[in-house]
Amino acid sequence: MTLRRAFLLAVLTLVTVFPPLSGVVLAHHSRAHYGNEESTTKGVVLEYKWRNPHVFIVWAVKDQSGKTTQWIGEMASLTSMIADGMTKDSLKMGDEITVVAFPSKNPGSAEALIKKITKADGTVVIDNSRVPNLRAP
Amino acid sequence: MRYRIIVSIFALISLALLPATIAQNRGFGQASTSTQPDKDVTPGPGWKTCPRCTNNKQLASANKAYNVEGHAFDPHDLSGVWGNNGIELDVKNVPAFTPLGEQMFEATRSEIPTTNSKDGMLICDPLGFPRLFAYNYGFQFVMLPDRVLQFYEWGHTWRDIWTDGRKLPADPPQPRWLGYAVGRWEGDTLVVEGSGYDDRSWISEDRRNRIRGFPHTDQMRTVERYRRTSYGTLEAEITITDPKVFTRPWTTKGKVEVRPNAELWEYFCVPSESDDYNKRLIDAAKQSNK
Repeated sequence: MTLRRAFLLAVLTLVTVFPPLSGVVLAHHSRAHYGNEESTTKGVVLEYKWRNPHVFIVWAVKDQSGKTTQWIGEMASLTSMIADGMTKDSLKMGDEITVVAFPSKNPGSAEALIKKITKADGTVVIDNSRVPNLRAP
Repeated sequence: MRYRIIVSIFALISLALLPATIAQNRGFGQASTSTQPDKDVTPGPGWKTCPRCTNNKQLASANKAYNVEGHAFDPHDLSGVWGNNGIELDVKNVPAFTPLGEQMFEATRSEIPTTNSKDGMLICDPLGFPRLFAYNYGFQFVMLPDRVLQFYEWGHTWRDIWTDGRKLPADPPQPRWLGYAVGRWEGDTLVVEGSGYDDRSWISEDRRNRIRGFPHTDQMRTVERYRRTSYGTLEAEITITDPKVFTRPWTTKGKVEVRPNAELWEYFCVPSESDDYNKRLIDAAKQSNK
């Protein structure tokens, strides 16, 4: 057995035994009803609910035909969002935002699990790479 | 031959360390995100952060600032804020149900396949004990001469663990969401026995699929064992016994880390807020499952 093979085996073993800390900030509820496809929308903040059990926003998205859809998107608890850099002042009504989210599987639904919010000036409000874990049961 | 020996050594190391790793992951840590701040978010100078408001980077910094590693400690002093997420019950080791237990378990089955519509948490029922062992957003021990107080961020509530020598009530006048608890020291381990639980609470939501909760009767008894193995680490174990529901005791072992810069924050389950959330987000989930 070469040194290289021994090293590779050691790395594989350690990765298996010590997975990165993840998946421990568990959802208040199951997220199974959200799909796996990411959707990106641009819109205007109508509501910013800085509240438990989960922070959520409502934003208005106008399509090419001029029709406006109100989306509602949830995140995690207040304290989890603080750890991720969000505060009660992160968003306000009228802010123009770009939202990356996982919409509900329900056709026609305008409900989503939010992954990333960016303001018009490029400020990243939240970029939550935990979202895939949050969706797991 | 050498290859086999090396493989065997790695396999043995893996097996030996796996339980500790699982225990650690059950109660501690947050994955990083690109927007996580370097510094604690606090109300202002002198104010501390909350257990869950701290990300891994901030926690590492706090551990350094408060000299957690190698810090002197009294093993009989469990004071401090511990963990940020409870110690998830060992769902790989759920005992077989009795016929009554199976019936009660099935009765908790959600009306929809995604979110558990029967979870009392949705309407702000108290989580009760031992659900608060498994889901608490961080807890704090305060040592008093006659009792140990265990405060929980979730629900912003506490329970008394009496250490004055009294016994558990044989026939408590009123079942309680948090039961009745008495504690004693066995060497450096605080052993806490509990009984007298209100059977409306769940032991925990069933995290295997979240469509049911683990039920219990008023015959449930719990035994917790807490041992401070370093200034920064608390080993915690719970054994749940309910002969009406389970065919054997159910034990979970885990550990939580001290949060040296933490203050339990206010997490009330507010009915009006939950109602708003349920109507606007949970009801949408129900629609998507019709």
